[in-house]
Amino acid sequence: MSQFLFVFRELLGSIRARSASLLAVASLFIFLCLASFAALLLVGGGSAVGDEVGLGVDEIVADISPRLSADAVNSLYREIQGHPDVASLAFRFAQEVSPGSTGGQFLIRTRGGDATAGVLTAVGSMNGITRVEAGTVVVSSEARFSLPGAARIALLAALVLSVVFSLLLARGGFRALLGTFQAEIRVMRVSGVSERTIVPPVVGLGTLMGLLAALLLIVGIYLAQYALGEGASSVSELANGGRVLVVVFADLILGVLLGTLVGLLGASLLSSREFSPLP
Amino acid sequence: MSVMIQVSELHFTTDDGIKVLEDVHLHIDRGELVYLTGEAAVGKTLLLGLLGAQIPPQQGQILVHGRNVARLSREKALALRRQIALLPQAFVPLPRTARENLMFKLRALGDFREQAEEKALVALEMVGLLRQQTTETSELSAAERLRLGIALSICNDPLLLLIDDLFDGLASDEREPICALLERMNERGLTILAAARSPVPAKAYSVRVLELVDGTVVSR
Repeated sequence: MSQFLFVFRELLGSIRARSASLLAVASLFIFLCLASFAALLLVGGGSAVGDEVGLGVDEIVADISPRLSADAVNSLYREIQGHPDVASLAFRFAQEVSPGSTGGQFLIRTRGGDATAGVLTAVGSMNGITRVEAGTVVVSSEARFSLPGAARIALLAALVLSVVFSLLLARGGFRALLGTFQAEIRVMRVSGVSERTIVPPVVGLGTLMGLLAALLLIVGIYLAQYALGEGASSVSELANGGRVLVVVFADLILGVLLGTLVGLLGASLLSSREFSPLP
Repeated sequence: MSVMIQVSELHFTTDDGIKVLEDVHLHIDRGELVYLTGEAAVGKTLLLGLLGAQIPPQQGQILVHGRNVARLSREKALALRRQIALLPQAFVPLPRTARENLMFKLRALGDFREQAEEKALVALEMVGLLRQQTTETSELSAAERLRLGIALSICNDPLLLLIDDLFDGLASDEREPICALLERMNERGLTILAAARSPVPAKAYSVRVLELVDGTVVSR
Protein backbone atom coordinates (compact mmCIF):
# COMPACT_ATOMS: atom_id res chain seq x y z
CA MET A 1 0.00 0.00 0.00
CA SER A 2 2.82 2.38 0.87
CA GLN A 3 4.42 1.63 -2.53
CA PHE A 4 1.13 2.37 -4.28
CA LEU A 5 0.72 5.64 -2.43
CA PHE A 6 4.32 6.62 -3.09
CA VAL A 7 4.15 5.95 -6.82
CA PHE A 8 0.70 7.56 -6.99
CA ARG A 9 2.01 10.71 -5.32
CA GLU A 10 5.01 10.79 -7.64
CA LEU A 11 2.69 10.35 -10.61
CA LEU A 12 0.54 13.26 -9.46
CA GLY A 13 3.72 15.29 -9.01
CA SER A 14 4.54 14.73 -12.68
CA ILE A 15 1.35 16.43 -13.85
CA ARG A 16 2.18 19.46 -15.97
CA ALA A 17 -0.03 22.09 -17.62
CA ARG A 18 -0.70 20.08 -20.77
CA SER A 19 -1.55 16.80 -19.06
CA ALA A 20 -3.53 18.63 -16.36
CA SER A 21 -5.69 20.46 -18.88
CA LEU A 22 -6.33 17.34 -20.98
CA LEU A 23 -7.20 15.23 -17.97
CA ALA A 24 -9.40 18.01 -16.55
CA VAL A 25 -11.35 18.24 -19.81
CA ALA A 26 -11.60 14.44 -19.90
CA SER A 27 -13.05 14.57 -16.37
CA LEU A 28 -15.49 17.21 -17.55
CA PHE A 29 -16.69 14.86 -20.27
CA ILE A 30 -17.08 12.09 -17.70
CA PHE A 31 -19.17 14.57 -15.71
CA LEU A 32 -21.29 15.34 -18.80
CA CYS A 33 -21.74 11.64 -19.45
CA LEU A 34 -22.89 11.09 -15.87
CA ALA A 35 -25.14 14.15 -16.03
CA SER A 36 -26.80 12.84 -19.22
CA PHE A 37 -27.23 9.48 -17.55
CA ALA A 38 -28.77 11.09 -14.45
CA ALA A 39 -31.07 13.26 -16.58
CA LEU A 40 -32.27 10.21 -18.48
CA LEU A 41 -33.00 8.38 -15.25
CA LEU A 42 -34.56 11.31 -13.43
CA VAL A 43 -36.60 13.03 -16.09
CA GLY A 44 -36.16 11.21 -19.35
CA GLY A 45 -38.63 8.45 -18.63
CA GLY A 46 -41.58 10.74 -17.98
CA SER A 47 -44.99 10.10 -19.45
CA ALA A 48 -48.12 12.06 -19.99
CA VAL A 49 -50.33 13.00 -17.08
CA GLY A 50 -51.71 9.83 -15.65
CA ASP A 51 -54.50 8.92 -13.33
CA GLU A 52 -52.28 8.79 -10.32
CA VAL A 53 -50.92 12.21 -11.00
CA GLY A 54 -52.01 15.09 -8.75
CA LEU A 55 -54.13 17.84 -10.26
CA GLY A 56 -52.65 21.02 -11.60
CA VAL A 57 -53.93 24.45 -10.63
CA ASP A 58 -55.93 24.60 -13.83
CA GLU A 59 -57.59 21.24 -13.34
CA ILE A 60 -60.87 20.22 -11.75
CA VAL A 61 -62.32 16.79 -11.18
CA ALA A 62 -66.10 16.50 -10.90
CA ASP A 63 -67.73 13.25 -9.73
CA ILE A 64 -71.03 12.40 -11.45
CA SER A 65 -73.86 10.70 -9.60
CA PRO A 66 -74.24 7.04 -10.70
CA ARG A 67 -77.99 7.54 -10.82
CA LEU A 68 -77.84 9.87 -13.81
CA SER A 69 -79.00 8.59 -17.16
CA ALA A 70 -76.77 8.75 -20.22
CA ASP A 71 -78.79 11.67 -21.57
CA ALA A 72 -78.38 13.57 -18.30
CA VAL A 73 -74.61 13.00 -18.40
CA ASN A 74 -74.53 14.25 -22.01
CA SER A 75 -76.48 17.29 -20.96
CA LEU A 76 -74.07 18.01 -18.12
CA TYR A 77 -71.13 17.54 -20.51
CA ARG A 78 -72.52 20.13 -22.92
CA GLU A 79 -73.32 22.52 -20.08
CA ILE A 80 -69.79 22.40 -18.69
CA GLN A 81 -68.26 22.56 -22.13
CA GLY A 82 -70.27 25.69 -22.74
CA HIS A 83 -68.66 27.48 -19.83
CA PRO A 84 -66.39 30.25 -21.20
CA ASP A 85 -63.50 29.43 -18.86
CA VAL A 86 -63.35 25.73 -19.70
CA ALA A 87 -60.52 24.93 -22.07
CA SER A 88 -61.03 21.20 -22.34
CA LEU A 89 -63.22 18.51 -20.94
CA ALA A 90 -62.89 14.76 -20.69
CA PHE A 91 -65.14 12.05 -19.35
CA ARG A 92 -63.96 8.88 -17.73
CA PHE A 93 -65.76 6.05 -16.03
CA ALA A 94 -65.40 5.80 -12.27
CA GLN A 95 -64.06 2.24 -12.70
CA GLU A 96 -61.02 3.68 -14.44
CA VAL A 97 -60.20 5.55 -11.28
CA SER A 98 -61.25 3.05 -8.67
CA PRO A 99 -62.35 -0.52 -9.44
CA GLY A 100 -65.80 -1.30 -8.10
CA SER A 101 -66.98 2.31 -8.29
CA THR A 102 -69.91 3.37 -10.38
CA GLY A 103 -70.74 6.54 -12.20
CA GLY A 104 -68.17 8.72 -13.85
CA GLN A 105 -65.91 11.76 -13.64
CA PHE A 106 -65.39 14.88 -15.65
CA LEU A 107 -61.80 16.02 -15.90
CA ILE A 108 -61.95 19.73 -16.61
CA ARG A 109 -59.06 21.92 -17.65
CA THR A 110 -59.72 25.62 -17.23
CA ARG A 111 -58.16 28.47 -19.19
CA GLY A 112 -55.82 29.19 -16.30
CA GLY A 113 -55.39 29.00 -12.56
CA ASP A 114 -57.34 32.26 -12.07
CA ALA A 115 -60.40 30.83 -13.77
CA THR A 116 -60.45 27.66 -11.71
CA ALA A 117 -62.40 29.05 -8.76
CA GLY A 118 -65.27 30.31 -10.95
CA VAL A 119 -65.56 27.07 -12.86
CA LEU A 120 -65.37 25.11 -9.59
CA THR A 121 -68.34 27.04 -8.17
CA ALA A 122 -70.36 26.75 -11.36
CA VAL A 123 -69.78 23.01 -11.78
CA GLY A 124 -70.28 22.30 -8.08
CA SER A 125 -73.76 23.84 -8.19
CA MET A 126 -74.90 21.70 -11.12
CA ASN A 127 -77.44 18.95 -10.49
CA GLY A 128 -75.96 15.47 -10.70
CA ILE A 129 -72.46 16.52 -9.61
CA THR A 130 -71.74 14.90 -6.25
CA ARG A 131 -68.23 16.26 -5.59
CA VAL A 132 -65.83 18.70 -7.16
CA GLU A 133 -62.14 19.06 -6.47
CA ALA A 134 -59.85 21.74 -7.75
CA GLY A 135 -56.20 21.16 -8.42
CA THR A 136 -53.47 22.19 -6.08
CA VAL A 137 -49.96 23.24 -6.98
CA VAL A 138 -48.86 19.64 -6.70
CA VAL A 139 -47.95 18.27 -10.06
CA SER A 140 -46.20 14.96 -10.26
CA SER A 141 -42.56 14.89 -11.17
CA GLU A 142 -43.35 12.69 -14.12
CA ALA A 143 -45.63 15.34 -15.49
CA ARG A 144 -43.44 18.29 -14.64
CA PHE A 145 -40.15 16.87 -15.84
CA SER A 146 -41.13 14.54 -18.63
CA LEU A 147 -39.01 15.04 -21.71
CA PRO A 148 -40.07 14.71 -25.31
CA GLY A 149 -38.63 11.82 -27.28
CA ALA A 150 -36.22 14.03 -29.21
CA ALA A 151 -34.73 15.35 -25.98
CA ARG A 152 -34.26 11.81 -24.71
CA ILE A 153 -32.47 10.85 -27.91
CA ALA A 154 -30.30 13.97 -27.59
CA LEU A 155 -29.41 12.99 -24.02
CA LEU A 156 -28.53 9.49 -25.14
CA ALA A 157 -26.35 10.89 -27.92
CA ALA A 158 -24.70 13.28 -25.44
CA LEU A 159 -23.99 10.33 -23.16
CA VAL A 160 -22.32 8.28 -25.89
CA LEU A 161 -20.36 11.25 -27.26
CA SER A 162 -19.19 12.18 -23.77
CA VAL A 163 -17.81 8.68 -23.25
CA VAL A 164 -15.98 8.80 -26.60
CA PHE A 165 -14.55 12.28 -25.98
CA SER A 166 -13.54 11.48 -22.41
CA LEU A 167 -11.65 8.40 -23.62
CA LEU A 168 -9.91 10.30 -26.43
CA LEU A 169 -8.92 13.21 -24.20
CA ALA A 170 -7.86 10.93 -21.37
CA ARG A 171 -5.61 9.01 -23.75
CA GLY A 172 -3.93 12.27 -24.75
CA GLY A 173 -3.71 13.38 -21.13
CA PHE A 174 -2.19 10.11 -19.96
CA ARG A 175 0.25 10.13 -22.88
CA ALA A 176 1.43 13.60 -21.83
CA LEU A 177 1.56 12.63 -18.16
CA LEU A 178 3.43 9.37 -18.71
CA GLY A 179 5.80 11.25 -21.00
CA THR A 180 6.93 13.35 -18.05
CA PHE A 181 6.99 10.23 -15.84
CA GLN A 182 8.90 8.16 -18.40
CA ALA A 183 12.30 8.26 -16.67
CA GLU A 184 10.75 7.17 -13.38
CA ILE A 185 9.01 4.24 -15.07
CA ARG A 186 12.28 3.17 -16.65
CA VAL A 187 14.08 3.34 -13.33
CA MET A 188 11.36 1.28 -11.67
CA ARG A 189 11.35 -1.33 -14.40
CA VAL A 190 15.11 -1.74 -14.56
CA SER A 191 15.16 -2.02 -10.76
CA GLY A 192 12.73 -4.94 -10.74
CA VAL A 193 9.74 -3.01 -9.38
CA SER A 194 6.68 -5.11 -10.08
CA GLU A 195 4.12 -4.06 -12.68
CA ARG A 196 1.63 -4.40 -9.84
CA THR A 197 3.29 -1.37 -8.33
CA ILE A 198 3.64 0.60 -11.57
CA VAL A 199 0.24 0.06 -13.21
CA PRO A 200 -2.32 0.52 -10.37
CA PRO A 201 -1.46 4.19 -9.70
CA VAL A 202 -2.17 5.00 -13.36
CA VAL A 203 -5.49 3.14 -13.23
CA GLY A 204 -6.14 4.73 -9.84
CA LEU A 205 -5.76 8.20 -11.31
CA GLY A 206 -8.47 7.40 -13.85
CA THR A 207 -10.70 6.01 -11.12
CA LEU A 208 -10.14 9.18 -9.11
CA MET A 209 -11.16 11.29 -12.12
CA GLY A 210 -14.40 9.32 -12.45
CA LEU A 211 -15.07 9.47 -8.74
CA LEU A 212 -14.55 13.23 -8.61
CA ALA A 213 -16.84 13.74 -11.61
CA ALA A 214 -19.51 11.60 -9.94
CA LEU A 215 -19.19 13.43 -6.62
CA LEU A 216 -19.42 16.78 -8.40
CA LEU A 217 -22.60 15.65 -10.11
CA ILE A 218 -24.09 14.37 -6.86
CA VAL A 219 -23.44 17.75 -5.27
CA GLY A 220 -25.03 19.34 -8.35
CA ILE A 221 -28.13 17.16 -8.10
CA TYR A 222 -28.66 18.02 -4.45
CA LEU A 223 -27.97 21.71 -5.07
CA ALA A 224 -30.53 21.67 -7.89
CA GLN A 225 -33.00 20.00 -5.59
CA TYR A 226 -32.34 22.65 -2.98
CA ALA A 227 -32.49 25.51 -5.50
CA LEU A 228 -35.80 24.36 -6.93
CA GLY A 229 -37.04 24.31 -3.34
CA GLU A 230 -40.69 24.57 -2.48
CA GLY A 231 -41.76 25.51 -5.96
CA ALA A 232 -40.68 22.15 -7.12
CA SER A 233 -41.93 19.87 -4.45
CA SER A 234 -41.92 17.27 -7.16
CA VAL A 235 -38.20 16.91 -6.65
CA SER A 236 -38.94 16.15 -3.03
CA GLU A 237 -41.34 13.56 -4.27
CA LEU A 238 -38.52 12.03 -6.23
CA ALA A 239 -36.39 11.99 -3.13
CA ASN A 240 -39.21 10.59 -1.09
CA GLY A 241 -39.57 7.83 -3.58
CA GLY A 242 -35.87 7.10 -3.21
CA ARG A 243 -35.34 7.85 -6.86
CA VAL A 244 -32.66 10.48 -6.40
CA LEU A 245 -30.78 8.14 -4.11
CA VAL A 246 -30.90 5.40 -6.71
CA VAL A 247 -29.68 7.79 -9.40
CA VAL A 248 -26.92 9.09 -7.14
CA PHE A 249 -25.79 5.56 -6.37
CA ALA A 250 -25.94 4.53 -10.03
CA ASP A 251 -23.96 7.64 -10.99
CA LEU A 252 -21.31 6.87 -8.42
CA ILE A 253 -20.90 3.33 -9.73
CA LEU A 254 -20.90 4.49 -13.35
CA GLY A 255 -18.39 7.26 -12.56
CA VAL A 256 -15.99 4.84 -10.91
CA LEU A 257 -16.38 2.32 -13.74
CA LEU A 258 -15.89 4.91 -16.45
CA GLY A 259 -12.91 6.40 -14.58
CA THR A 260 -11.35 2.96 -14.20
CA LEU A 261 -11.85 2.36 -17.92
CA VAL A 262 -10.09 5.66 -18.61
CA GLY A 263 -7.29 4.62 -16.24
CA LEU A 264 -6.92 1.24 -17.93
CA LEU A 265 -6.66 3.03 -21.26
CA GLY A 266 -3.86 5.16 -19.77
CA ALA A 267 -2.14 2.10 -18.31
CA SER A 268 -2.22 0.39 -21.71
CA LEU A 269 0.25 3.05 -22.88
CA LEU A 270 2.81 1.63 -20.45
CA SER A 271 3.44 -1.31 -22.75
CA SER A 272 4.95 1.03 -25.31
CA ARG A 273 8.66 0.61 -26.10
CA GLU A 274 9.41 4.13 -24.92
CA PHE A 275 8.95 2.91 -21.35
CA SER A 276 11.32 -0.01 -21.79
CA PRO A 277 14.39 0.31 -19.56
CA LEU A 278 16.74 -0.81 -22.32
CA PRO A 279 17.39 1.20 -25.49
CA MET B 1 34.57 -19.61 -5.25
CA SER B 2 30.91 -20.02 -6.37
CA VAL B 3 29.69 -19.16 -9.84
CA MET B 4 27.72 -15.94 -10.40
CA ILE B 5 27.21 -16.14 -14.17
CA GLN B 6 27.35 -19.27 -16.28
CA VAL B 7 26.39 -18.92 -19.92
CA SER B 8 26.60 -21.75 -22.40
CA GLU B 9 25.69 -22.14 -26.07
CA LEU B 10 23.84 -18.85 -26.10
CA HIS B 11 22.46 -17.75 -29.46
CA PHE B 12 20.35 -14.72 -30.26
CA THR B 13 18.91 -13.64 -33.59
CA THR B 14 17.05 -10.37 -34.14
CA ASP B 15 13.63 -10.13 -35.79
CA ASP B 16 15.48 -9.10 -38.97
CA GLY B 17 17.35 -12.41 -38.96
CA ILE B 18 20.71 -10.95 -37.88
CA LYS B 19 22.65 -13.34 -35.67
CA VAL B 20 23.95 -11.09 -32.89
CA LEU B 21 25.14 -13.74 -30.46
CA GLU B 22 26.51 -17.07 -31.61
CA ASP B 23 27.50 -19.83 -29.27
CA VAL B 24 28.46 -17.55 -26.39
CA HIS B 25 30.12 -19.18 -23.39
CA LEU B 26 30.80 -17.11 -20.32
CA HIS B 27 31.83 -17.91 -16.79
CA ILE B 28 32.10 -15.27 -14.06
CA ASP B 29 32.73 -16.19 -10.44
CA ARG B 30 31.14 -14.46 -7.49
CA GLY B 31 33.23 -11.49 -6.40
CA GLU B 32 34.88 -11.01 -9.81
CA LEU B 33 35.29 -7.76 -11.72
CA VAL B 34 35.18 -8.29 -15.46
CA TYR B 35 35.26 -5.86 -18.39
CA LEU B 36 33.48 -6.80 -21.58
CA THR B 37 34.76 -4.81 -24.50
CA GLY B 38 33.76 -4.64 -28.11
CA GLU B 39 32.98 -2.30 -30.96
CA ALA B 40 29.68 -0.44 -31.07
CA ALA B 41 26.62 -2.53 -31.91
CA VAL B 42 28.26 -5.93 -31.48
CA GLY B 43 25.66 -7.08 -28.94
CA LYS B 44 27.05 -5.97 -25.58
CA THR B 45 23.76 -4.31 -24.58
CA LEU B 46 21.85 -7.40 -25.66
CA LEU B 47 24.10 -9.70 -23.66
CA LEU B 48 23.74 -7.55 -20.55
CA GLY B 49 19.96 -7.40 -21.06
CA LEU B 50 19.89 -11.21 -21.22
CA LEU B 51 22.07 -11.56 -18.12
CA GLY B 52 19.95 -8.99 -16.28
CA ALA B 53 16.75 -10.97 -16.98
CA GLN B 54 15.40 -8.00 -18.94
CA ILE B 55 15.34 -9.83 -22.27
CA PRO B 56 14.17 -13.45 -22.49
CA PRO B 57 16.78 -15.76 -24.08
CA GLN B 58 16.01 -17.59 -27.33
CA GLN B 59 18.49 -20.42 -27.27
CA GLY B 60 21.14 -21.57 -24.82
CA GLN B 61 21.44 -21.53 -21.08
CA ILE B 62 21.97 -18.58 -18.75
CA LEU B 63 22.49 -19.27 -15.08
CA VAL B 64 22.70 -16.23 -12.85
CA HIS B 65 23.28 -16.82 -9.16
CA GLY B 66 22.34 -20.46 -9.81
CA ARG B 67 19.02 -19.65 -11.44
CA ASN B 68 18.15 -20.50 -15.01
CA VAL B 69 16.95 -17.19 -16.44
CA ALA B 70 14.97 -18.88 -19.23
CA ARG B 71 12.86 -20.88 -16.81
CA LEU B 72 12.01 -18.20 -14.32
CA SER B 73 8.41 -17.33 -13.68
CA ARG B 74 7.44 -13.66 -13.98
CA GLU B 75 7.64 -13.17 -10.23
CA LYS B 76 10.97 -14.95 -9.89
CA ALA B 77 12.38 -12.94 -12.78
CA LEU B 78 11.35 -9.78 -10.94
CA ALA B 79 12.96 -11.03 -7.75
CA LEU B 80 16.16 -11.78 -9.68
CA ARG B 81 16.09 -8.32 -11.26
CA ARG B 82 16.13 -6.82 -7.79
CA GLN B 83 19.34 -8.71 -7.09
CA ILE B 84 20.94 -7.75 -10.39
CA ALA B 85 21.63 -4.05 -10.82
CA LEU B 86 21.69 -3.05 -14.46
CA LEU B 87 22.92 0.40 -15.32
CA PRO B 88 21.66 0.95 -18.85
CA GLN B 89 23.49 2.60 -21.71
CA ALA B 90 23.03 6.39 -21.93
CA PHE B 91 21.69 6.50 -18.40
CA VAL B 92 19.75 9.71 -17.74
CA PRO B 93 19.08 10.45 -14.08
CA LEU B 94 15.74 11.78 -12.93
CA PRO B 95 15.52 15.58 -12.91
CA ARG B 96 15.88 15.78 -9.14
CA THR B 97 18.71 15.97 -6.67
CA ALA B 98 21.21 13.12 -6.48
CA ARG B 99 19.79 11.89 -3.17
CA GLU B 100 16.20 12.07 -4.41
CA ASN B 101 17.14 9.87 -7.37
CA LEU B 102 18.20 7.10 -5.01
CA MET B 103 15.29 7.72 -2.67
CA PHE B 104 12.86 7.30 -5.54
CA LYS B 105 14.16 3.87 -6.47
CA LEU B 106 14.36 2.67 -2.88
CA ARG B 107 10.89 3.88 -1.98
CA ALA B 108 9.40 2.38 -5.16
CA LEU B 109 10.98 -0.90 -4.06
CA GLY B 110 9.14 -0.59 -0.75
CA ASP B 111 11.59 1.03 1.67
CA PHE B 112 10.28 3.53 4.17
CA ARG B 113 11.59 7.09 4.03
CA GLU B 114 14.15 6.83 6.85
CA GLN B 115 15.45 3.50 5.64
CA ALA B 116 15.70 4.81 2.07
CA GLU B 117 17.49 7.94 3.19
CA GLU B 118 20.04 5.94 5.12
CA LYS B 119 20.74 3.59 2.20
CA ALA B 120 20.93 6.51 -0.22
CA LEU B 121 23.57 8.28 1.82
CA VAL B 122 25.66 5.11 2.14
CA ALA B 123 25.55 4.58 -1.63
CA LEU B 124 26.38 8.21 -2.38
CA GLU B 125 29.32 8.06 -0.01
CA MET B 126 30.56 4.90 -1.67
CA VAL B 127 30.73 6.52 -5.09
CA GLY B 128 32.11 9.81 -3.74
CA LEU B 129 29.01 11.94 -4.28
CA LEU B 130 28.05 12.65 -0.69
CA ARG B 131 28.82 16.34 -1.05
CA GLN B 132 26.65 16.56 -4.15
CA GLN B 133 23.67 14.84 -2.54
CA THR B 134 21.47 17.93 -2.82
CA THR B 135 22.78 18.94 -6.24
CA GLU B 136 20.32 18.80 -9.11
CA THR B 137 21.38 16.15 -11.60
CA SER B 138 21.32 18.70 -14.41
CA GLU B 139 24.27 20.39 -12.69
CA LEU B 140 26.36 17.21 -12.44
CA SER B 141 29.22 16.49 -14.84
CA ALA B 142 29.18 13.39 -17.05
CA ALA B 143 31.48 11.54 -14.66
CA GLU B 144 29.34 12.52 -11.67
CA ARG B 145 26.22 11.36 -13.48
CA LEU B 146 27.89 8.00 -14.09
CA ARG B 147 28.82 7.80 -10.41
CA LEU B 148 25.21 8.62 -9.56
CA GLY B 149 24.06 5.84 -11.90
CA ILE B 150 26.38 3.42 -10.12
CA ALA B 151 25.07 4.60 -6.73
CA LEU B 152 21.52 4.16 -7.99
CA SER B 153 22.38 0.64 -9.10
CA ILE B 154 23.99 -0.49 -5.87
CA CYS B 155 21.82 1.31 -3.32
CA ASN B 156 19.65 -1.75 -2.69
CA ASP B 157 22.63 -4.08 -2.16
CA PRO B 158 22.54 -6.19 -5.34
CA LEU B 159 24.57 -9.33 -5.81
CA LEU B 160 25.65 -8.44 -9.31
CA LEU B 161 26.26 -5.11 -11.05
CA LEU B 162 25.98 -4.94 -14.82
CA ILE B 163 27.05 -1.66 -16.43
CA ASP B 164 26.46 -0.94 -20.09
CA ASP B 165 28.72 1.41 -22.06
CA LEU B 166 30.72 2.33 -18.99
CA PHE B 167 32.85 5.13 -20.36
CA ASP B 168 30.24 6.70 -22.62
CA GLY B 169 30.71 10.47 -22.69
CA LEU B 170 33.71 10.44 -20.36
CA ALA B 171 37.00 12.20 -21.07
CA SER B 172 40.04 9.91 -21.12
CA ASP B 173 41.31 11.26 -17.80
CA GLU B 174 37.94 10.50 -16.16
CA ARG B 175 38.03 6.81 -17.03
CA GLU B 176 40.72 5.51 -14.69
CA PRO B 177 39.05 6.95 -11.54
CA ILE B 178 35.89 5.10 -12.57
CA CYS B 179 37.92 1.89 -12.92
CA ALA B 180 39.31 2.55 -9.45
CA LEU B 181 35.79 3.04 -8.09
CA LEU B 182 34.67 -0.29 -9.55
CA GLU B 183 37.71 -1.98 -8.01
CA ARG B 184 36.84 -0.53 -4.60
CA MET B 185 33.27 -1.79 -4.86
CA ASN B 186 34.54 -5.15 -6.07
CA GLU B 187 36.83 -5.38 -3.04
CA ARG B 188 33.68 -5.18 -0.89
CA GLY B 189 32.46 -8.36 -2.55
CA LEU B 190 30.27 -7.03 -5.35
CA THR B 191 30.46 -8.96 -8.63
CA ILE B 192 30.72 -6.56 -11.56
CA LEU B 193 30.49 -7.00 -15.30
CA ALA B 194 31.11 -3.69 -17.08
CA ALA B 195 30.70 -3.40 -20.82
CA ALA B 196 32.66 -0.71 -22.63
CA ARG B 197 33.57 0.18 -26.15
CA SER B 198 37.15 -0.65 -27.15
CA PRO B 199 39.69 0.43 -26.19
CA VAL B 200 39.47 0.36 -22.39
CA PRO B 201 42.03 2.11 -20.15
CA ALA B 202 45.16 0.25 -19.21
CA LYS B 203 43.99 0.05 -15.60
CA ALA B 204 41.16 -2.22 -16.69
CA TYR B 205 43.69 -4.86 -17.71
CA SER B 206 44.63 -5.39 -14.07
CA VAL B 207 41.46 -7.52 -13.94
CA ARG B 208 39.85 -9.90 -16.45
CA VAL B 209 38.94 -8.38 -19.81
CA LEU B 210 36.73 -10.17 -22.32
CA GLU B 211 35.84 -9.08 -25.81
CA LEU B 212 32.66 -9.64 -27.75
CA VAL B 213 33.66 -10.15 -31.35
CA ASP B 214 31.62 -11.68 -34.16
CA GLY B 215 28.91 -12.64 -31.68
CA THR B 216 31.26 -14.62 -29.47
CA VAL B 217 33.02 -13.80 -26.20
CA VAL B 218 36.79 -14.21 -26.22
CA SER B 219 39.41 -13.51 -23.54
CA ARG B 220 41.86 -10.63 -23.89
